[in-house]
Amino acid sequence: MNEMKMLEQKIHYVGFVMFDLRLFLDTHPTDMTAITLFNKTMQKYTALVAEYERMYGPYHKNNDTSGNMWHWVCNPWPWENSANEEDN
Amino acid sequence: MWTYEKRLQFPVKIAQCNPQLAKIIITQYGGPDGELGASLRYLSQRFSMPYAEVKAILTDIGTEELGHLEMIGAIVHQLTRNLSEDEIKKGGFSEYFVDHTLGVYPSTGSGVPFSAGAMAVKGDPITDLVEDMAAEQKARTTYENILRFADDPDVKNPIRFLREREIVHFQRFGEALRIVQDHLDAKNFYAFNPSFDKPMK
Amino acid sequence: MAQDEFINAMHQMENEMSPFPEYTPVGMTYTPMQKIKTIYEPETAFMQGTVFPDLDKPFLGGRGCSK
Repeated sequence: MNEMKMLEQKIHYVGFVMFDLRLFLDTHPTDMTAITLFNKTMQKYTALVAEYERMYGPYHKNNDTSGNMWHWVCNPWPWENSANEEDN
Repeated sequence: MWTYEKRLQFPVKIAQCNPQLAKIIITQYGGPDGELGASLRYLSQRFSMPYAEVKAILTDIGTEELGHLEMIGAIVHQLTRNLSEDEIKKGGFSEYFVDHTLGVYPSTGSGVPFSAGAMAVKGDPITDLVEDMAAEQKARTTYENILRFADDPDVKNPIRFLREREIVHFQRFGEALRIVQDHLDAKNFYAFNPSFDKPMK
Repeated sequence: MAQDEFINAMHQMENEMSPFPEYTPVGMTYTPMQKIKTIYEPETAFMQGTVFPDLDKPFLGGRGCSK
C-alpha cells in the first residue's frame, strides 16, 4: 500500500474511534473520561488530516476544485471495488 | 441536515461474484430487519422524543445506519456486477434480474418490496426505545445467519463489522432508556406518556 | 487545585457508582450504564467494529469456530 493510502487509512481509523466515542458521549454527556479521550482523539485526527493535506491536497473530497476541476464527480465512487483497493 | 462523505464506513472489495449470497444479503438492504428500516425508524422517532440525549443518539445511530445501508448496497452490487446471463440463471437470480437487472432494489431475499410495516414509531419514549433494542437484536441475528452462509472473507469482514455495530447500538438504546427512566417516577413509569401528556400534580 | 480535587472526587464517585439504578422495580427493563475502562488502539478498534473491548462480542457460530 502506498504512503498516501496508509495515511488515509490511519485517518479513517482515528475517525472511527471518534465516532464510537461520540455515541458513548450521547448517552454520557458529562463523562470526563470520555470527553478527555474524545478531545485527545480529535487532536490526533486534526493533526493527521493537516499532514495529509500538506502532502496530497484535500482529504474531504466535497469541495475540491484544484486544477480548476470539480473533483467531486470523479470515479471511483465508494461502492466500486477500486475505491476500496489498498493500492489505487 | 445531512452531508455525505465519499467513502464507505468499512471497505467493501469483493473479487468473486456470487448471486446466491447477493440474494440473501439484500434482505439487509430492504428487508424487515435491514438498514433502511433501522435508519428510517430511528430518524423518525426523534421528532416525538422529549429528551435531548435521546434525540442525539437516535440522530447519530440513524445516520450511521444510512452508511450501513450504503455498505449493503455496495456488497450486493459487487456480488452481482460481472454476472453472465448463464450465471444469473444458475444462481437462482433470474426472477430478481427480470425486474431489476443488476440494479439494487430495496426488498427482502424473496422479493417482497421494502415496507415500513416492519418498523414502529409509537410516539412513546419507552415503547420506541424498547422497539429499537429489539431491532438491533434482530439485525444482529440476521447478520449471524448471513455469516453462516458466507465463506468469502471479502464478504465476512464487512458483515462482521456491521454485526458488531448492532451490539454497540443495542447498548446505547438501553442507556437511552435509562435516561428516560431517570426523568420518570420509578414507582410508576407508565403513569403518563412524556411525549404527549403533562404529568398530573 | 480545588477544582482538580473536585474533578478527582467526581471521577472516584463515578467509578464507584453502580451501573444500575438504586431502585429497580419490576415491570421495567434496566440496561447497565457502560463505564469506560480501556479502549482499543484505532486499528484494532476498526477491525473489531468498536473502540470498547467491553462491547467486543464476536460470533463463534457452530462448533466454537470463529465465523
